[in-house]
Amino acid sequence: MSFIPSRTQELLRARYALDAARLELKSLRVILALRRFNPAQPRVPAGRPGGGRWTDGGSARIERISARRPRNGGTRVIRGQTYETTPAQEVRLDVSSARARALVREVQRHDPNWRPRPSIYEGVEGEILANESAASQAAARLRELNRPEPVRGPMEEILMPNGQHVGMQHRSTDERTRTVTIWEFDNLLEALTPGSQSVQPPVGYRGLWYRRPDGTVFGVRRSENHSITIDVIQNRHPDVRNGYKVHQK
Amino acid sequence: MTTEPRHLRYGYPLSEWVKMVANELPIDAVGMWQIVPGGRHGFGLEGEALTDCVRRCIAELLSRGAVPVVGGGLEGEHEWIAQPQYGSKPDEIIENVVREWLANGAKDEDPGGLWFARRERAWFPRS
Repeated sequence: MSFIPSRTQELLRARYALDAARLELKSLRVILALRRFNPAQPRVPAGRPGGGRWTDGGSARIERISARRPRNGGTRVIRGQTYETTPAQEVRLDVSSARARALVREVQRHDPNWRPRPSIYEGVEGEILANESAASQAAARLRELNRPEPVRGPMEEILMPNGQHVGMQHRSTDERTRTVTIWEFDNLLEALTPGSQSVQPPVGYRGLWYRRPDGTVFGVRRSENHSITIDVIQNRHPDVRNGYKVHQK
Repeated sequence: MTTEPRHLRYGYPLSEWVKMVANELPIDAVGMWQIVPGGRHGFGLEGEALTDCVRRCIAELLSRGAVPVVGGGLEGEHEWIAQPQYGSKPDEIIENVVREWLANGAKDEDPGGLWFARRERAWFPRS
C-alpha cells in the first residue's frame, strides 16, 4: 500500500520517464559519436585552441595558443585544459604530434581503415606519450605492410619546394631567415620528422636536434618572443645550409 | 673603384648583407653559426676576408644593442645568458670574439656556441 498520493505518484512517474528519455538521448549521442569516430581523422593539434577537436585538415585546424608566461615556458590547451609547459615539452609536443600525423597518414594510404588505438591520457606528458604511441603503432603497421616510413627527400626539397624558399623572408633579413604560418610550420615538421632520430643537442641549445636518415641535422627550438623555430644545423646545399632558420609566425 | 664582395647567388653587396643579418635581432638572436657560414658559403670568403666579414657583422649587431650570449639550455631558467667576459666596449668584444673563433679553427660553429641577443632579452649573471 502506498502512502504517496496518486497525484505525486504521477508526477514522479513523469519525472522518471523524462530522465529515462534524457538518458536514452545521451546514449544515442554517444553511439552516434562512436560510429563517426575515426581516431586517424585530422585533429587540431594539442596545445592549439580547440586542441583535440576534429578538423578537415585545412587551414581551420591552425591557430596557436594563448598567452605565454613571461619567462621560460608557455601554456598549451590539451583536451580543454590549460597546462603550463616547459620549452622542452613544447618542442616534444609539436614534433611528436607531427611525426604521428605523418606516419598515420602514410599507413592509411595503404590501409585506409587502419587507425591507432585510441588513448586515454591527461596532461602534457600524456599527450606526448599518446603521440609517440600512435607513431609507434603506425611504424609497426608500415613494417607489416612492407612499406617504409614516409621519409621525404633532402632538406632543401622540403624547405625550397620547386626551388622557392618556404614562407616569407622576414622583413629585411636575408633569404635564409624565413617566416611561415603555423599551418606551413606543421607541414614542414611532418615532412622533416619521419625517420629522424633524436640526437643530443649542445648544452646551451634551447631545443632538440634530430638527424634525418640522409645525415642532415635540424633543430627545433622554442623562442620566448617567436614561439618555435626550425634551425638547419647541418646541410650542405648552397641555398639551405647551416644557419637557415624557419620561424613560425 | 670598390671591389666589395657580392653574394654568390643573390648578388647583393656584403655591406647590405651585414645589415640584413642584424635585422633579425628584433625577432631572434643571431648566432656565430649563422654569420660564419653566411660569409664563407654565401660570399665565398676565407682567411682575412672572412675574418673581416665576421668582424663587421658583430660590429653591426653590437651597434643595434646586442650583447654576446649563450643559450640557457632546454630546461634552463633563462633563454639567453650574457657573456661579459668578452668585454664591455664594442671593439673589445669584437676582438675577443674573433680571437676565440680563430683560435678554435675558424670553423662554421654550431648553435651551441656564441650568439648575439638584444640586451633586454639577456640575463646577466651577478659577478
